[in-house]
Amino acid sequence: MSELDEFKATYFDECSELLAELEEQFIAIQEGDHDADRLNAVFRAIHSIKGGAGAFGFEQLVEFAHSFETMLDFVRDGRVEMSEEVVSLCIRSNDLVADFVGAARDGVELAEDYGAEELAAFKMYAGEEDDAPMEEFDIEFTPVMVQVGDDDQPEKPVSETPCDEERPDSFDTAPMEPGEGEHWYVKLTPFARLYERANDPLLLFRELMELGDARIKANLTKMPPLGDFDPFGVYCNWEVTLASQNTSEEDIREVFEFVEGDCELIVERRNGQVAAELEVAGQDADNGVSELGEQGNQTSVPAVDDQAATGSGQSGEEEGKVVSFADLAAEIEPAPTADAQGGAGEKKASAAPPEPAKKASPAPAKTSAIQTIRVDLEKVDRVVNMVGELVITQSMLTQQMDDRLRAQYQELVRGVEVLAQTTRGLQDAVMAIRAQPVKSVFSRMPRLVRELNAKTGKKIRLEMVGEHTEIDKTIIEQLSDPLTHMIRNSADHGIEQPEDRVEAGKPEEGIIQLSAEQSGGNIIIAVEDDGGGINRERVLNLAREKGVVSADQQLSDEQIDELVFAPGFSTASAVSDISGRGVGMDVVISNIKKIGGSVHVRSTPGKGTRMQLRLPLTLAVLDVMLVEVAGVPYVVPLSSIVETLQCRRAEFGQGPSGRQVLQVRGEYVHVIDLACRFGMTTEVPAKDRFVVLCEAEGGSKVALMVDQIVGQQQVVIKSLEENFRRIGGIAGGTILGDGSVALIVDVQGLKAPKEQQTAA
Amino acid sequence: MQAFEQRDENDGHDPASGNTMQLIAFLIGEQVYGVEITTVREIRAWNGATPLPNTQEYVRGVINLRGTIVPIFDLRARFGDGITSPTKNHVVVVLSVGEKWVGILVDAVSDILSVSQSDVHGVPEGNNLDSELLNGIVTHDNKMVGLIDLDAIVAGTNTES
Repeated sequence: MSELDEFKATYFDECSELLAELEEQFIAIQEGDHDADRLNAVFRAIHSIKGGAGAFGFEQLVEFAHSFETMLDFVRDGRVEMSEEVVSLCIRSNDLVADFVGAARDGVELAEDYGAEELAAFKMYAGEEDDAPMEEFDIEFTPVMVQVGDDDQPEKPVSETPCDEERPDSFDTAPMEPGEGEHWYVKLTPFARLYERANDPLLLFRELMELGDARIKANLTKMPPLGDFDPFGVYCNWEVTLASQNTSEEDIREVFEFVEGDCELIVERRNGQVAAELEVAGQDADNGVSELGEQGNQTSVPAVDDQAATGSGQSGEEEGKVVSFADLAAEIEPAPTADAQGGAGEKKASAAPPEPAKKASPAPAKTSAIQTIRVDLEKVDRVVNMVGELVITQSMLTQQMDDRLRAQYQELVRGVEVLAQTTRGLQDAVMAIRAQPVKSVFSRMPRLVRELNAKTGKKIRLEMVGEHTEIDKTIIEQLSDPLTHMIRNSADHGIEQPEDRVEAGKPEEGIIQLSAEQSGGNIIIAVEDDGGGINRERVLNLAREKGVVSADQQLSDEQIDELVFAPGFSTASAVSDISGRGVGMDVVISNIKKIGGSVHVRSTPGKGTRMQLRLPLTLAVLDVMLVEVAGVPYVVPLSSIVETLQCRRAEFGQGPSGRQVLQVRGEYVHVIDLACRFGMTTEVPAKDRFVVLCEAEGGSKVALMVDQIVGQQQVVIKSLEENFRRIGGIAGGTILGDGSVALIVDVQGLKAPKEQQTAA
Repeated sequence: MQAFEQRDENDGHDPASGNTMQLIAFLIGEQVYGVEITTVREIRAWNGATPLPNTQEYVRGVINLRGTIVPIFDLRARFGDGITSPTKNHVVVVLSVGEKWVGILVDAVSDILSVSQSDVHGVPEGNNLDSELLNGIVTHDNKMVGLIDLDAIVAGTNTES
């Protein structure tokens, strides 16, 4: 993978996180939470997506994100009201951004006019002034005047000193009006990170200049001789003097919002005196910070002086604020002054003041961000595996402890007990690393429901509960398809058309509730709708028609409900492109079974349907029943076992082919003798053997005949394919307490046609 | 678990000369076979294996190698000489072949041999099984040492039949 590809991969990773966050924010906004923080978060996310897209040249994405951002900006400062239409436009646009990102990732070309409608809507809200900044962002380069300190620094041209006649406002501004004595001092010392993330200080300064009259000075003292110059090195910092009356510290910090943490930023309110002192000190100390205008014969020095002279003569438009800032200025004054006197100790100055300065910002209470690191999943899995081994070894040790040993080596016993505890703790902790909130898959569902609303003409609201419930990452990945199918199913078959709902005395808007909760060692995920419920009569008739159940079979209500999961079964009167082709619900059950979960459906006619997934907390550990066949241990996942019985109590029959069937509670079930199936011979007499009744996909049952049932335990699943290959009827392997390998029986695979059996 | 050793590539004599290779030699009956030492991960005593259903006769089953499931091939059976009845003295040589780790069940490990690349002879035509499973033959102490073609050994791990 080339370096660029790696960057791209990281970018797309980040995009998907950002998109998920956007979705979350928009949902909160939709629910009426118009908090400024939310909008800011949205803004940040869109901006980050746009920034990366610009760097990689995804033009469509950049253009769209930019217009989106422009409109959001209008919303943020109140020029556009956060009306319902705007929110829904935002949410639609968010989906489109996701599409653009997806297209960029997969290298797919979207239609030229994709999202044109939304773009037009942005323009409508944000006005036409949208066009100009776009170009600025992209190609057309409008330079900012930066004064470079060049005392015996021959490398002057390295820094940005373009001079452009078209933007005279950047430099040759008239001296400031009296009364503007107070000004802002901003010092930006970028870290290498800032550039690595494709930020450009130039853009920041340009933005800063929109706040007021800014004078920017580049400090090049750290610039090495050309010979030592590292093209990726960071040698430059900037000092900006911003004269603007109505600017608050937040306004300034907001400009640097996206580089927060990637640079050292000092924002100080200074009055003229401080500035003057600093200037004098700066000149005296000759510390290399050349004062603005010293070299360039510019008018700026007088300007600063003016400012200094009129320093305290401030007109207070915002009385309250001014007072507090004045207090603040007093508070922070000593630091820069002392430092300026110190002359060269510039670095210290930049380190000290931000603390008091922060007090000035009233609102942006930064919740201390949770620190995270990105770790290769493979590394985590390796740890999980090793911990699994440790657990096995530990239980092996414990098994070795007999009474004699216990009496003789008490210290050893205590040690082993502590080891057991620590191991358990370690296992939990490691599993927690793999655990993720189900939010990551839940957050894809609102979009689905929106699309379904558009397609079906129904009014459906999605409610999500417990999206912070954590579950193993691998399980989460497997959840997306089943949940999609379940929600589609609820929307298509469950929720009625609005007019039918009204007729039935329900609110026009249908509700699908998606919930997650932990219950013991399981996670329960449920999709519940308040629709019409399952029409049992129709389901049963259809099932009989399609031969899913035989004509004379009597089924309980629950059994009929479960029929919706049978393969090839669909009750939709018309096949729509949403669902109804009979694939889907059986996908749900096969996916869920695959990860050791189970599916249940409960329906109340006229009231609604609840489909519930019961999932294991983690895939790494599986609850199994240990059985023995011809002296070889096998394990059967507990989730697929319905019941076990002794052969002597079971009633067997024989089909015409000689195939054994088991009669259990009025049902005839296909019997598979594992010894026979696995090509082994057993000496255990038939009447002493056991039947393990298992449920395979679609609720169909199969009876496995084994020699012995040893007991239940938890095992760690191991791959056979890693060093060997798939084997028919075997889902994988596991390691037992004594270190030997036991194979996991694949119930579904055993039921499958006999090809595999004859293949060997 | 008792007899296990791990080796690095430089173990043994004459590591510098490029055209010499080192072999781990092992016995199946009287016949000596060898595999390149760099492919050997571990040598351990036979301690049983869990049989895999519906696999070829020479697949003896799988063992637990520090948490990984590794298949064991009975080399004698692979050569068509019938199944080995292993005792505690039989040995499993664990090899890494490509991405996979596999074990081969042999009667005993006999020696570490240094042989020159130029001493490797081609396998005589005629017997399909020989030319399928051997890479070449070297002479050591007037004895014939067959070089096992590891890729042929693991070939059976990729397909179902």
